[in-house]
Amino acid sequence: MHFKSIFILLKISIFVLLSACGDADKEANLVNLHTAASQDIVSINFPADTTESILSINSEFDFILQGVKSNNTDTVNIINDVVWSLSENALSTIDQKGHLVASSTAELITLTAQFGHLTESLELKISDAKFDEVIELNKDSFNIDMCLSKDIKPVARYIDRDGFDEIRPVDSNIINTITWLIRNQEDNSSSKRAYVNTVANQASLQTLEAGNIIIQASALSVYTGIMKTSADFNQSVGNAINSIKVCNSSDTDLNTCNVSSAHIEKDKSISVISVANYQAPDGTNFNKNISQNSKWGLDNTVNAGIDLSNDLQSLIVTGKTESTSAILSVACGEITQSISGIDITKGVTLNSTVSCGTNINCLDKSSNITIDKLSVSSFSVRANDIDLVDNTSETFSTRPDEISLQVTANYSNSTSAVITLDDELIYNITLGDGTVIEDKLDSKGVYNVLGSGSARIVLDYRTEEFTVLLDIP
Amino acid sequence: MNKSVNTLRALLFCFFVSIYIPAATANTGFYFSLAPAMVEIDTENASTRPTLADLRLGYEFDIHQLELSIMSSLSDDSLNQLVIDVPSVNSVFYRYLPYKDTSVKIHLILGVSKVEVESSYPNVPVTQETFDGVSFGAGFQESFTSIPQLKLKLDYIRLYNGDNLNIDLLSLGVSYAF
Repeated sequence: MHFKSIFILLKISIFVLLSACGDADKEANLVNLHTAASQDIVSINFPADTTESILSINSEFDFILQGVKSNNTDTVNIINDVVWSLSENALSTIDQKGHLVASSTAELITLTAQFGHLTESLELKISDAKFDEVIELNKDSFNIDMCLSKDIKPVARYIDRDGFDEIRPVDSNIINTITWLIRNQEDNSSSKRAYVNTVANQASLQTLEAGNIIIQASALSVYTGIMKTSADFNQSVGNAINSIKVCNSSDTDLNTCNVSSAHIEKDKSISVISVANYQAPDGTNFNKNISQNSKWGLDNTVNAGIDLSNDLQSLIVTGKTESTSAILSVACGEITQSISGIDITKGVTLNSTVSCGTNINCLDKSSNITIDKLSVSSFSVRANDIDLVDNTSETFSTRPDEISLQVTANYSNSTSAVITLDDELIYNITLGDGTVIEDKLDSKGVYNVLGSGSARIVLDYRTEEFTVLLDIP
Repeated sequence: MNKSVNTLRALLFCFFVSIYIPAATANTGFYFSLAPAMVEIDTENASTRPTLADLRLGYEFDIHQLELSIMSSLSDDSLNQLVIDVPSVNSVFYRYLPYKDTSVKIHLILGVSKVEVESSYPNVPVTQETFDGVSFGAGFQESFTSIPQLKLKLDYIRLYNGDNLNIDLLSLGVSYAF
């Protein structure tokens, strides 16, 4: 009786219950608050130094949304959970990482970024004004010391269809077409003190030596159709560097790391970086990986080799000749060796020691590199053409008159070599010596068989051992 | 939509289990339970866990239980500057005991709940919102040998199964049968 009523009640309840579903709109407020609170963000903005309000047609730009923490002091760039959008009917597009691709025609649009319950908007002008020339090296003047990098945002004059100037940062299309010319101020000679490198639409000034330089930007004026070289931009490169040292690229604590000597096996490599300690304008000190803008040298390229990594952020040192050594040297500043024929944009590596001499605007350091013999990862051993396994007994079907071992070393660099007669290979009979087998005179690795029984021979090569176990009938 | 489908599957599972498992004779009568409970409000990016006092009045007959649950806030929870409180939760649960003869009694729970959530955050007005819908979960009960009417109970119930947030309840307490 009870059951029937209950099941009827249950069925009715289930139909009623099923009509109740989640409601995303109703949940939005609570979800948004949790999103903002998860990063402790109470307000958002587009930071002025990384935001543009006028972009060229067909250009690209990466917008950054900045969040202000609840202490109203700290700020952080918000990477995740930002919803980016453009106004309806916009021809430009933006992805959910804030990467905007401008339309091919001029338009006025609104960019909106939403993070949690917070929303920030920006009026954007997609302009068809044409690039004329670079008029400033960077939006703001700056100081830089030698062997450092500084992202720059060159400012250019664009001219619209009515002939009015539009002064704004160089767009992503033009920035990659600029040729940068750098001269030393004192004699107008081509400078090796610095260069400008442009990667992923971002130009950066890379400095190698202290001194005063003149930078010019040369690019095709889209407005006039002729090449235009900018006015001189004077820039000083300082020398507020306290020390330089070599560290492993895997070191995370740049304050304590140091490599004064290192071991490498032949055909193996290690990755090192140069670390400089600088004095900041506020008097504090900081450490920086300066591998890209250092000058590297190796005194012996037969024994070892050096190459900068593809991203120039570390140096690869490779051992070439075993049981030798080489001196790795690194310097920041003007060295005594000539670098006149070197493309400094690809990094400076010399086949000789680099040194500062008496130049006060230079610091150097060296590390001793020892190239060790290759280590052995395993052996392949045969006895009378029978493959042996380490420390595993092998039984001959008939008693041989003699046993010949053939030993192959498999090295850590994946190469192999027969080492049967190698002086470094030591044979030692530890069982059956004189009763089962004996060394054959003047025949290394060959044994006379004396009688039946078990024999054990231990092979020792570069600290690795292989135990030969033989049962002789 | 997927969550709604999952909810439907859970409900149908409970329903068919309740139909096909043979009934057994058991106690009949009223009971009440009291438990501290933790509610987890879970979103994709973060979650908060305020606590409540969970009072329930129920009627047990055979292997079925119907109970009314009234919960009120014990403490709020904070995530940085976000403060989340659950002032009240009101629910009606049906509990089914599929395996009566085991020492630990496992209950399948089905019901409806109404959850009040209050939130406050810098520069945002204090907001109180209501989330109601299907609830489902499982419970465990074990009688004290010296006082058979007194049982230790543990319930884990999804009070609200939303598209972008879920509200779960974990309560551990005692119940007493009259």
